[in-house]
Amino acid sequence: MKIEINNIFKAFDEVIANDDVSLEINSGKIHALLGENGAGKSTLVKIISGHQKPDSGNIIIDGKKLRLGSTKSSIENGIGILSQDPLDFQNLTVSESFLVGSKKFGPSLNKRKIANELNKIFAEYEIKVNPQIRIKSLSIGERQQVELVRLLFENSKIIILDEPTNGFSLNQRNLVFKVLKKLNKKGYVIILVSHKLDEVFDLCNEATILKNGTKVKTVPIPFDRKKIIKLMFQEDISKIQNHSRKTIPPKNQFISIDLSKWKLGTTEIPQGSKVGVIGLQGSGCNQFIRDCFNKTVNISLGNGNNSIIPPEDFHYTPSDRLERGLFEDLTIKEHLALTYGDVKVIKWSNIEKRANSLIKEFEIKGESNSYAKQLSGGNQQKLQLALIPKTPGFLLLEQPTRGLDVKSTSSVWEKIIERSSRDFGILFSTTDIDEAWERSDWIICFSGEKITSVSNKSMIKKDQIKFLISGVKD
Amino acid sequence: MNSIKKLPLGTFFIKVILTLLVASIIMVLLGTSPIEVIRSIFDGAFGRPEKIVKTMLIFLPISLASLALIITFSGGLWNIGIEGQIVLGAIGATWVAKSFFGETLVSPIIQVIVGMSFGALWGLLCGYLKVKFNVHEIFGGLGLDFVATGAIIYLILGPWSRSGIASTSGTDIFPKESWFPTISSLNIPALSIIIVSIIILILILFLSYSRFGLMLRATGINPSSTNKYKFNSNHYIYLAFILGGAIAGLAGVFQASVFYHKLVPSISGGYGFLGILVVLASNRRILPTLLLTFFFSAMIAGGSQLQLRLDLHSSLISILLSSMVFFWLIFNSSKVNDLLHRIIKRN
Amino acid sequence: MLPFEQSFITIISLSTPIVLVVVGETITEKSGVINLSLEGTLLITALTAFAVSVMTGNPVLGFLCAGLVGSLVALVIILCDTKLGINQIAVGFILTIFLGKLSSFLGREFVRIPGPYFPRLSIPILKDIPYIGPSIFDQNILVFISLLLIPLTWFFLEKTRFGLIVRSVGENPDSAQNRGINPEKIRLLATVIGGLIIGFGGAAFSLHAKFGWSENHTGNYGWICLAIVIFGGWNPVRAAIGAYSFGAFQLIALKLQSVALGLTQVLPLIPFPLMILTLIFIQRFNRSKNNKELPGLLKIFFGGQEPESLGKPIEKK
Repeated sequence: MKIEINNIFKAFDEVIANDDVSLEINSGKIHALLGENGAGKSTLVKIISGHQKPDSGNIIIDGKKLRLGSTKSSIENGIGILSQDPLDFQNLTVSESFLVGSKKFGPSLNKRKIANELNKIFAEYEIKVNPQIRIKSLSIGERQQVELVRLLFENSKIIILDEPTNGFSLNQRNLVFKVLKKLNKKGYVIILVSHKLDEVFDLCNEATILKNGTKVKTVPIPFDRKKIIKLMFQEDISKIQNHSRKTIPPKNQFISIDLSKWKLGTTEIPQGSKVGVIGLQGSGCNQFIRDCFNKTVNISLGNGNNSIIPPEDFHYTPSDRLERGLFEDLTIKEHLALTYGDVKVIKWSNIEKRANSLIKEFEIKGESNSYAKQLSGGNQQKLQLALIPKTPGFLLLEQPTRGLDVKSTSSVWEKIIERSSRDFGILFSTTDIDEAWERSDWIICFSGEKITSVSNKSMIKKDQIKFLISGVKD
Repeated sequence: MNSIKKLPLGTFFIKVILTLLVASIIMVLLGTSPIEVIRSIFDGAFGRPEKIVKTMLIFLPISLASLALIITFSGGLWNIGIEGQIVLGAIGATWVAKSFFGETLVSPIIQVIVGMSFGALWGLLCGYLKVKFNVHEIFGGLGLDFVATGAIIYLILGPWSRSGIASTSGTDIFPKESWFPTISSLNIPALSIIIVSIIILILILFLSYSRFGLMLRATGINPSSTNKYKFNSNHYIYLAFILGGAIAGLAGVFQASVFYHKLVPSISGGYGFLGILVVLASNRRILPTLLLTFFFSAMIAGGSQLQLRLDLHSSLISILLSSMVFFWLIFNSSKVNDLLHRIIKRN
Repeated sequence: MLPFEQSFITIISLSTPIVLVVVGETITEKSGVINLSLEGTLLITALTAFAVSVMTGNPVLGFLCAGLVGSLVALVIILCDTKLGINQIAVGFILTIFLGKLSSFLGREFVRIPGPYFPRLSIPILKDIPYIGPSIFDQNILVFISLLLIPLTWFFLEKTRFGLIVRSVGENPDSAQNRGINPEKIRLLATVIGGLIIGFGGAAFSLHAKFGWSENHTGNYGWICLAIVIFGGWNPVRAAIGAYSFGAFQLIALKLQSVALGLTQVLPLIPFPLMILTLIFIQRFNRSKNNKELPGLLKIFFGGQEPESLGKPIEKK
């Protein structure tokens, strides 16, 4: 069995997700797709599974050309995908969810017969799940296990796993890996998209590294870990690096961040510091920022008496701007009007003036009457920042420069730095190591939803970060 | 999207013409002559001063219903319960008319207060079911519409029945003091016009110039973004229902005291649902809503003559209005707009 | 006649149209689509059935045409939703008014005129069984069809592969697509077939339960059926039970009319509080963290599961 992926090109508006990607995988291989966020891994596998249609290119399975963009056709050709979020049916029973779309049991469903069959199959794969209960009572790990078994049941010979082990217990993970290795010996093709190098090294025998939509290299596993990481996080020399760093006036006040959720006690950081929370997508950075906003993680002014920072002084910007931060059918000036909490009557002329000055100051490509949905992602982010009140507060920014080009990124950071001397502190998450290094005074590293490091920048080396976020024990 | 996608004004007029064309085709298909119908409607709505007054009497409650719906739609809600809210307003007005206040000069004002409160209460019930029990406002509203209908029939046949005869033709006529003051022999509903104008003004101010109105619209657009701006979207749902219900209740007061001068079973005249049609077509913007309401009112006023003049069933008007709204939505759908965009780009 | 046997027969017979409508709408809603035009569809299909029946002298033809009209209306709703992106609730609402008034207009000449009756189906031996016999086996053929449809629909939805596919689209169209299913196609089928059965229900009004045609002939029944579908917890069997219960209440109200005037007015109200109560119960018990199943009796009457994607359009990637 052989799957050939030839010259796949896929762009979303102006963003090129896959740029002429080609690779070949033979049976009996467990093939990893590695790369930073935005490298194009997810898009590529979605094209293989039929969820997306490429703009050009083709996929050939055992000499037969695959009809692209159709999940039905991919399934018929033995392709099955296990996504990050299990694609099952919460309100159906395990049996029912298992059988949706299956042709194996004939037109009518005999519940008892099916339950027996499933019990047998589950036992074979050492899964302890009762087929009669509803999917929503299962844990994510159990749901993924059931999905995997389902793929095998449906004769998938090419199994894609798109970062599926988030939320797995150690036992569940080991079980799944055992199954995958068995399948590997039987000649199945397994494609694993992951950024957990430990897992990759445990499971796979070859890996393709993607970066910025292109294929960098295909390497066998085992391979030099450091070299792989270098290829994944290749320094981009063309990036303009902004070295301007304002020195922070020494402060006597400290900020305490309560990290007991990760069994790490309380960290004290000088007031006014910028804290960069770095990790790969899904590793928990964004959730951390959210936890700080909804008070799951306590941040207080600690200088002995632990005074609370009033909640209205926390300013939060989510990474999915249009979904959770802005209102797509409201204009810029309407958003501005929303932020004036005490005002009952809106004086539009004043708001208009203020909006225009903010637009100029933050270089937003739009007018005060532009709807939020009409702005590009970068400008939406700038809008979010522009809406933060100028008074001192604590900023919680989820991926503030996500989707921004180099120029916008540096202008956004200029604005953030301008106010950093006033603010109690700035906590931002990012997946970009350069940004974390350049912009922060303190760095918190996340890997697999665990904090792997909390330290002042002077205490670690930039090179170490790659390892700290990749789950590789140094 | 980077560019602001706006279609040239010309396309708007083309769509209007197309819609009117569709209406004409429907009239032909139903065996009537469009020209005759239009002439008859025009005459029926504007032919004589009395007719213009009648058109106005229809305009007032429908405009109130539409405005109430703009409020609730802004909050992202399908207020199908509006019919019940109108009915409750009418019941409130009748209660006042039949009470001690009914024969005093302050009766109209009291009616307004009581009617709006009843309507607001009815709306609040809908909101409560939605917020506390997650009962979709469509089903809650429908249920409350039915309960309101049951209540009104009970009242008309029971405690408020005409002296001696319990009849579905309605209650006794209200005392003269409870009729809203009018001007001249034509009985132009002066007070009502003033009240509605005030409401319209307040609404424009509220929706466009107050933070409440803005927050309400925000709630309607994206409830999940609201907690970042630190307000509770549930409060705004209640607010929308209370305001909407109150204004709908006012429409009911007008129907009872200004139009019929008594309580009848079909007191709402279906104006609540017609209001939904108006607001769907006008896309919740105030000025188009008022213009469209005017159009609807003229059609209805003029349409009542159709039976007499052309021996046409009165339902023709509703057929035309609903089909025009339907096709208007089609012509303004995103797919059609995209198509027009592409055609224009090519030229 | 056995005690209450006549009443039993009457209830089964008169509830037939409601049974058909709720079964049809249940299928539609199981796939995630609300056909809000029920009120208007019932009127226009009842008219169609009667009019065609009178004009051709063939009630079966009337019945079939009504089904056709019902499915056409459903087709319009689903196409506007999937192809044009217009909210299915908005379209359904507009059609309610349009079709309702259209039926008044077109039906003028058919008011209170006689027409041919639907053939009777009489099965020997079986028809002599007490209660059930005369109700089912010595009745209008429509009644028989409606009774057949109840278990058939239930079986289809719960026990067949294709029914599972329909339910899966109603729960999570994205996951369904992942299984190679085309959710738009499934919704289209479910809506149109539901519309067909709803059309048959309309025919069952004007050709059987409330014979003939008059202005607003099936008034309010559309809304009542929507409520009964919800009360039925999106389960065709329970919805049918709700339909028969409503029929029973109607009969009681009719009999007591001389005693308590206005009871017929109260009648249309009953499904709605029940519907609201059902929705509340469903909410309470389905959102609980430990997912305890409802205690037996309560579950039968107030359990049920709202299809997750009900009323929501399918997102295009």
